[in-house]
This record gives sequence, structure tokens and C-alpha cells, in this order.
Amino acid sequence: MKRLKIFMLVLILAMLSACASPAPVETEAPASNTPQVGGTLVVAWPQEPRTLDPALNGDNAGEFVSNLIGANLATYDPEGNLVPYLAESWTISEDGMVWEFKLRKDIKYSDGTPVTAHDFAWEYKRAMNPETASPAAGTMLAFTADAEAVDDNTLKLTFAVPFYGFGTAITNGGYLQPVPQAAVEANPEAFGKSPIGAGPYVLKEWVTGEKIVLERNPNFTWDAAFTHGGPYYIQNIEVRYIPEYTTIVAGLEAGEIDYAVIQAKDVQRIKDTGKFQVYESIQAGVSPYISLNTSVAPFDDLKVRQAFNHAVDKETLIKVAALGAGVIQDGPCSSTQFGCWSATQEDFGYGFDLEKAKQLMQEAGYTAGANGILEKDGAPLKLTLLTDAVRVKVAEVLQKQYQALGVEIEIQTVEGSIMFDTLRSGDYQIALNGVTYPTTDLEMAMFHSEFGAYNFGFYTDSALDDLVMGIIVTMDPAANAEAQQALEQHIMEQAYIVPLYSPVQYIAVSNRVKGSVFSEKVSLAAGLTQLYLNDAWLEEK
Amino acid sequence: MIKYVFIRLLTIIPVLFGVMVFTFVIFQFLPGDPAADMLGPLATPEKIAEVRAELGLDDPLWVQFGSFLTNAMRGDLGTSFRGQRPVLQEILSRFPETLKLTFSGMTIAVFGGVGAGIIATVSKNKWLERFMLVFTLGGLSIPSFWLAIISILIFSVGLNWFSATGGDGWKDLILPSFVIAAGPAAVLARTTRTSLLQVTRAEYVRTARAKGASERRVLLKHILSNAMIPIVTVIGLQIADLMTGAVFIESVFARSGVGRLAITAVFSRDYPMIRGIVIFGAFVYIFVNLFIDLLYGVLDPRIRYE
Repeated sequence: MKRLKIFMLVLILAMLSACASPAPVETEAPASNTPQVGGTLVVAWPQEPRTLDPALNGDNAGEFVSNLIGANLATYDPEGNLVPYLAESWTISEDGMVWEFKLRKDIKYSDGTPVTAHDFAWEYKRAMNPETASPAAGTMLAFTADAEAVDDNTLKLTFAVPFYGFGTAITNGGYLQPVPQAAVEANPEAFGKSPIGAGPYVLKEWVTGEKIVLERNPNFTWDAAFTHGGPYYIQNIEVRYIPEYTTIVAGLEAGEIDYAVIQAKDVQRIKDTGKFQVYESIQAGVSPYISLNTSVAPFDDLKVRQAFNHAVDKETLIKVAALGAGVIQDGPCSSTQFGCWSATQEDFGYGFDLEKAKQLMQEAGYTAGANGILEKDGAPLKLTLLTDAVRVKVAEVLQKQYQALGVEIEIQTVEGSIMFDTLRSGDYQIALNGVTYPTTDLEMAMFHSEFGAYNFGFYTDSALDDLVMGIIVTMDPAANAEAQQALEQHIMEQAYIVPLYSPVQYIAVSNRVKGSVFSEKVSLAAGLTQLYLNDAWLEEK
Repeated sequence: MIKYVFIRLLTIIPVLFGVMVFTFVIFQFLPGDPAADMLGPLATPEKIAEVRAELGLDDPLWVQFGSFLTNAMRGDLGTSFRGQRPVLQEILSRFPETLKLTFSGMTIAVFGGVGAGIIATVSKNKWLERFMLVFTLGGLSIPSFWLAIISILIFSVGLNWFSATGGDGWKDLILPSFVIAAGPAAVLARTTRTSLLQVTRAEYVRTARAKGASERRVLLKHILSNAMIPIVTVIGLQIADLMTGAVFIESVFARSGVGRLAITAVFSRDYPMIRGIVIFGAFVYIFVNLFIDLLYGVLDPRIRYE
């Protein structure tokens, strides 16, 4: 049944991506199939960026814009292959400790000055400096020990440990990109409001609280190998900040917005307008999942953790809490996450089985007491499930499902940052949490006893630590995939978390946008909603 | 008169002081550490400690309140965590947008509400009066948030008369102004009606009619001018409603005013900004009501300020 569902989903996705290629429209002149320069693409985004300084930015509103203003060493092609971008080529030393990049010689900032390896080294060092407190770039460079310019066109990065996942970090132009040192140093605060980058667009206007307008960068005279290789066709990109989601949907329906992330409940409505393609893809990461604090009772007991995995009816959960917009996730990463051993999505053996769950609880020493609540040593099993407001609906379904197991759950809703602090302090037993991230490096943050900033389960398992380091330092792709499989299997054998489902994300793109813009593998996987605008052009309104 | 204005201005000081104390105390009870919130989850404890010291968060409460107060008097309401800009500067840069919206909303509410109240009462047409009562009941009970979305769906998506996602032009002001005016207009219509009915029964109106004054003169000179005092009071009170309304309306219509700034500040836990907006809002409200108080004297010459 699950296989069938996944098959259906793949089929739908395949059909959608087939639709994405420009289909000839009968009523239009054939001329509309040749790319034309011009037009304004209107994007709706709920929040406004805090800053456009890539090193200081930590939100995806800023990442989206910075990624158009700047660029990084490599990029993903629509098939998900790592390909050269600002770097022409690179080499990785035998031990994986040194990465050397040869930069393209023709790249310039939007103001016309050439981009050199010195800018890269300077910016990477700025992000690595703890004083900068770089929220995103700093994390990506966590294993980087040093960045230096060997000459104008050669960048050398030295690592503290070999880091397989760094390949993904260098594709992120939103957080990691070369910036002109002089411009930043002249006025660091102003740079966040008027950034300069080497990407396809230039900041034209930022009306605080309203919009950011980007204009085509004429100095962007090159592009990745899979594109037409020159400046983008779309003249302007206007990102409008609209906090109210209903307004975004109304704006789409009125034809004022060309590109927006939408919710499952509105997919049909937007499709019915006949003016949009709605693309969909599974979100990368593990969100939502149940975090179990393994350092305290009852989750210090493997059998209890396994029982909690068996007791969740994920199919019903998706139907009720996510309005069907999700696929069951049984492992610690979702199928679109780069590096995830995707075959394992349903091979961990934790199907919904209430009887088995009850039996496991019995083996763990629990017996049914008053009102059907499980008891151990006379104490009834009552737990407080911590959640933030966004996931309350999921929590309510889980509350009901665990009641069937004989566990009484009280839901405590807290504010996002309080939740983070509480999880980190370990002052909880069970919590509903979620982390979205494009790569499986996430597993280090979640499961490593020493380096894990998100080790909310308080795992102190040396075998687990070794397996986590395995996926970080194993540089051979085949061996890395094996390490990944072993890690995922270990995590689920120990039932360290209760994975629930991977949400499906939807993005509406106007039919005015011509050319293939969506990649099922890349566009939404990173949680970024980044389309391939390289070859896209706009039809006049 | 000048003396009265001066005294009224003096009474503002304790009110503003009260607002300051209140906002300061409230923010002391909020969970979380402002320094940690400002720096984000990845900041080192050393960095947090450093910023705490910089912000004076380790000082005793009365020292913190003292510096908060003296800074506020100099017009320094702190620096926004989010935008890293002075709070007051940010609020003032957004205020014209909100002023435009509340001013046009108020104009519609005053002319529409008072006008409807007068017509429904004076025409003595039972149906017109009932229609007005039902209509204003709607205006009072429909949440502006819902009305905003419905009006976008009807006038922007359906009829395509206005932009659904807002803009800067005068045309983009029409829909939000009407929506924001709906509640206050309904209140004003009802107040006008009640006030007119009361005055109509007054003896001096009967006297005026007995003297043989024209109906027009009775209405304008004797009824309306006397009925204006409660109406003007309610107008003053409705300003607060409009400012609260702006918080929702600006978000739904994607307008970049102070209300929108408030929403963003709340969601990103930008404490200095939230506090700044509360103080700024209180300030505006106090001055609007001072202005209304002074207007009484103009409307009713019997009111003299001693």
C-alpha cells in the first residue's frame, strides 16, 4: 500500500515535471517559444529579510534574495549533480583535509570589479570568526579550519576533519558567497541593506516593509554548463513581503503574483484558475518527529521507545493533521535529503502495530491500571508532550493515539525559542519537534554526543558517535552511502526518535513563466523553494 | 485657554510616565533573555554575556528603568533587534503610511457614520432607520480582519477593481480605508442617532419650534450643534480602534505601516520595537484626545477652560 502510494506520488511528480516544459499554446504565435528579455517576475514571500549580508543572515527570506544577488563555488544541476559554478574545477586531497578550488577568470561583481580568491578567503574567514556569530554560513564552515587565497584564482580550504558533506555547502549561494572586502569594511551595516555580489541579479530597490526589487546584472556574462550561459532573460524580480497568507492566495488568483509557496488546502483552488503550474516535492529533513529524552525514564528503556514507534498510526496522522499532504517517514531523514539512504523509508520495521506496542510495554514492566492507564511500580504513565503552536494539531492526534496504548499525554504548547531552550536543557521527557535541512549532515547535529547542537535526545552512545562521524569523514561516495545506511539502521534499531512523516510542499508558478524551472530533486528539497530561473523567460501579461 | 492647554500638557506627563512604567514592568516578566534572542541560537555564552553587559541587562532594575526613561525622553527608544536601526526612526519612517490609512478611514467613518445617523433619524422614515440599525449592527459585529479578506475576494479577485496585494497609490488606499472605517462608522452612526434623539426631545428644541424657526434652522442650529459633544467624544475614542485596526488591516493589505511593523516585531520577538510602538501609540492617543478636549470649547461656548 505504501509502495503504491510512493509509486503514485512519483508518477504525479513525473507528470508535473513533464508539464513544466513549455507546452505550445495554440492561441499564441510561435514567437512566444523563443526566449525574450524583459518583464517582472512577482514573488510573494511571507517575511522580510533581516539583512542581505550573507554572513549575518540566518533566515530563508534573506537566503532567497542573496542567492540571486550572489553565487557560490558550485551548484546542483536539475538532476541533482554537483557541478562547477564560480569554481571551474576543484581537487580534494587524499586524506580529505584540503580542498583546492580553481576559480573562473571571467567573474565580476555587479559593480564591475573582478572576483578573486582573496574575497572568498576573507568572507569565509569572516563567517568562521565566532565574533561574527554567523548563524548559517558559520555552521556550514564548522569543520573548516582555514581559508586562504593561494593566488588570485586559487582558493584553498583546510579542514579540521575530512568533511564529505561540504560539497553541498559550496552550492549554497544564499549564505556562502564572495563579497567585496572593501565595500563591507567601508560600512558593514550599510552592506546588509545594499549588498554587492557576483550573481545574476542586482539589488535595485528595497522598500522596507514592502518589497525588494532585483534587476538583471549585465556583468553576469557566464553561467553553469547546463544553462544557455549568459545573463538571465527576466529583467526584474520583485519580491513582495505579504505577511497574510490569505492575501497571497488572493494575489495569485487576481494574477498579481507569479510565484508563491502555497498550502495543501489551496492547491486545487489555484490549479482551477488555469493560470498556474503547482509543483510539489517532499521536504528534506525530519519534521515533524518525536524527540525522546533518553537520559530519563521512561525513554531510557529501549522497549518503551520501540513501543512508542509502533503505536503511531502515521497514515491517519497525515490525513488528519496534514490534510493528506505528507508521506510516511520511518527513518531519520526524508527521501529528498541529499545522501539519505532512501531505500530505508519503510524498511525499519516500525509499522503501526498497537498489539506489539502493548506487548513491548508489558515487557518493559508496565501493567494496565485504573482507566486503562499503564502503570509501573504503582505510578501511572503520564507524560507532558512539549510542542510549539505550529504542530499542535499533530500533537493532538498523537495524544489520542498514545491513549490507545495506555499512555496519558498532556500537551504543553510553548513559544519556539522557549522550546529550543527547553529541549537543549533536557528538562523534558517527550517533545514534538522538526528540523529541515538539505543534507544528512543534520544527523551529526541531532545525534552526536559532543558536536550535536540539536542532540535533544541526550544520546551518549559511542557506537552512534562513530557511525555519525563515518558519514562526515568517509570521502568515497560508495563507502559513504554504506556508512549512511549503517547509521540510519542503528538510529532506528535503538528507536532513538519517532519519525512521523515528510510534509509535501507546494509552489505555484504562473504560466507566464516559460522554460523549465522546476527540479523535483533540487527545487524544494532544501526547503528553499529555489527555481531554476537561468533559462526562464516571461510572457507579457 | 492657553493656561488650560498648558495644564493639560502637564497632565500628560504622569500618564506617559504610567505607560512607561507599565511597558517596562511587562517586559521584565517576559520569558527568555533579550540578549540571547538578539544573537540567535548559535551565539556563544561569552558573546551573550558581553551583549548583556552592553545592553545594561545586568544592572539593577531601577538603574535599567532610569536609563530607559532618560533615553526615551531624549527620543531614544533603543535599537531594533531585527533591523538594527533606531526604533523611533523606524516607527517614524512607517508612520506616514498609517497616518494616511487612519486619516482616510476616519474621514469615511465621520462623514459616513454621522451622515447616516442624521439621515436615518431626521428623515423619520421607519424603514431607513431600521436599515441603518441592521447595517450598523453588521459594521459593529463583523471583525475587520474577515471583512478585509472578503472585500479583497470580492473587489480585487472577483471584480478586479483594486490590487489584491496592495501598493503605494491613492487607489490602493480605498479598500483598506473603507474596511478600517466600517467599525467606527457603525459606532458613530448609532451614537449620532442616540444623541440626536435625546436633543430632539429637549425643551429648547420645542421652544425653537414654538418660536416658528424653520425646520432647517432647528436642525442645524439647535439640534446638531448640541448633539455634537458626545459624537466628538466617540470620534476621539475611535482613534484607538483605528490604530488597533491598522495592525490587522496593514497585514492583510500588505501595507508597510506601523501596524505591520508591530506584527513583524511581535513574531520576531523584537522587544525594543514592540515597546517603542506601545509608547508611540500611547503618545498619539493622548494627543488626539487632548485635541478633542480642546474642540469641546469650540463646539459649546458654555464650556470654558479655567
